Amino acid sequence: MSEQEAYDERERVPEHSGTSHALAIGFYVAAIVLIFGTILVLYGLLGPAEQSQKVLDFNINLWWGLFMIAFGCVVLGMSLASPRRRAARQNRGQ
Amino acid sequence: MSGLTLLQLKVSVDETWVDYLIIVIYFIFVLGIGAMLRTRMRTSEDYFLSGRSLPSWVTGLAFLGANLGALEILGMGAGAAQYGLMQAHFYWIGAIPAMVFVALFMIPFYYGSRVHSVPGYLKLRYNEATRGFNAILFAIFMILLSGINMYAMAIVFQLLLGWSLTASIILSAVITMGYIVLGGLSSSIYNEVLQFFLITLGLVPLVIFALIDVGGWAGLQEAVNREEFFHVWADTGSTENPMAVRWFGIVLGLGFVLSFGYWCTDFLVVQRALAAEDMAASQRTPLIAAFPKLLYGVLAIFPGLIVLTIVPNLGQGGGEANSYNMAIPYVMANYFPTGMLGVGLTALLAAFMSGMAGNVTAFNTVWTYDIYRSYIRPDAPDHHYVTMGRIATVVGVLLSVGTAYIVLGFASIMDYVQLLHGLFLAPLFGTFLLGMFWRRTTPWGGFAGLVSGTGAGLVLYGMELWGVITYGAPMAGNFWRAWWAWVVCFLITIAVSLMTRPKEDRELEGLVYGLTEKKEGEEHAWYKRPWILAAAVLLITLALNIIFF
Repeated sequence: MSEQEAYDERERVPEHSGTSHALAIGFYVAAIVLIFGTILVLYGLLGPAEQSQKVLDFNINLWWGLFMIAFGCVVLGMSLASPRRRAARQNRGQ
Repeated sequence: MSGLTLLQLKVSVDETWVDYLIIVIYFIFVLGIGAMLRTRMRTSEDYFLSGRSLPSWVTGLAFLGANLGALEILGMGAGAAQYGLMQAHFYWIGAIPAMVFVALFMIPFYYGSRVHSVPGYLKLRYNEATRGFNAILFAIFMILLSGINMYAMAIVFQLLLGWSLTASIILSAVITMGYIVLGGLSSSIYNEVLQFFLITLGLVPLVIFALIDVGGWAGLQEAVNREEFFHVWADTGSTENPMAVRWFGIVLGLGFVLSFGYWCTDFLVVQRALAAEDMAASQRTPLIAAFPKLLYGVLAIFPGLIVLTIVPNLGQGGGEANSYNMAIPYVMANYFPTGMLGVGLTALLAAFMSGMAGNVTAFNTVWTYDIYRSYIRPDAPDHHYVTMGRIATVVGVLLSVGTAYIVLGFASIMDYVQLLHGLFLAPLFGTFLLGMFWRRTTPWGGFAGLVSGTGAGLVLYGMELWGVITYGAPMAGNFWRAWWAWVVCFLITIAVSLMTRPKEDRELEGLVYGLTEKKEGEEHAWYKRPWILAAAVLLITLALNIIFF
């Protein structure tokens, strides 16, 4: 074996080690965005009134919190509906 | 209220327990996922590339997430406060064309050759000397970049807690070390994707509300009242523009050398594309990242212009608390009430911490595989190298504490980062380009070119420090220095190659463009084809250059 082949051999690795992280990443992102959104909405509703004075007399915590919740739901929905998830389930069913 | 109001700035920080709660929740999640994943990372391949099993939307967003470090958020905002809208060149002539080039031409090589790193490619294409020289430079480069991320993290803590810079740097070191030791690195792809969303969700409302407040684009121009700050190309016929550089300096130095050098050879980002599940997904990775990257030309640049309406003399003396680097943190503190402020600052901290973790991972990959395994202990079992990687991580964090202070010597981290890119990446890009597209390039030609290009960059910088060469703005120096370092590398490589013996074609298969069997990724959906995505993103880029001309 030449030096270069030996090097290639050391660098070569199995194509897939089988861990599918994609789904978990979707749920992870959705979870954090939903939690942050919920905190902002709750603080926007229950927190002191001065918070709206910082930006244009607008309750940014409430509204951006609601947007984050909506966005988190979209990510969650897409993760649930993902073809990869269905494929993973089918594999388990067989 | 933090110590900032004492500095007589017009910015007040209203942080309360909600902001800390948000930051704490973020850290719990990040460490939790890291601990969960750590048990699943058995081989070193898993550890560094997540087993090459990810779909392209994940690797694409992680690719961008890995790029959204201190440079992106603090640096671009700082650059905009310093140079105005011309800073957007870093996106619309810089990043995007280079990302397209990487996707179409570079990824097939990296993916096909199955090396962990740029030094790995250099070893196969050139020789041990070239690889060794680059590995050592790269390790130094990563520690310097890691220091920038640590400094960035420290100024967020400074803003939030009102501590001194040193105390904030130590706090950042402790937190980053904890993050890495508890397994944060094994989840770096997870966190980069998350961070992309958090940063976007933090910057979008900032830009929207700030723009409404100043009266839109027209109101912003009026409030800043510096005509030259609102054009990207119009004033570049002469050096009478904020960056003091003509259009061809921008195109050659930034558009070609700095950007291509960064995106083609910084394997911190390239590594993300290599984690994709197949060749097609790998090629799509930089293109998927390019679309949100376009948007960052607005999200990261506009706050840097907006800050000038709040603190008009930003960067004009007043010490470190009034430096350009404070642009984005100040705009956040000015517009965000407690709650939203927590989300914004969490996004910043997340970016800096994982940016730093990314630098440190790259440092430990190069150290472990390209220096330690190659020269010090070649035949140890796999777990030995994983352990060595962890030790390298700890040492890397400690060294970064020192390099964080170097940042204080520069007007903005943007100037500093581009200095580093010009010194470390510009010559390397010359070596890569010739190695990949000219099969006559010889091993010693590559070595001589890389060494002399790096040397040329250092000599030019030395001459600027001594006042032999002067530029109207630091950025002009960065562009030209990068260009000339590349030219020297390019010419010396060709000259020495013509005098030395090339490798046999057989040895260069899969390493040189003309000698590589192109494995086209199977892709049936037309909207996923690389050429279609590339054309779309380039058209939008062209339109943005015209709109903001």
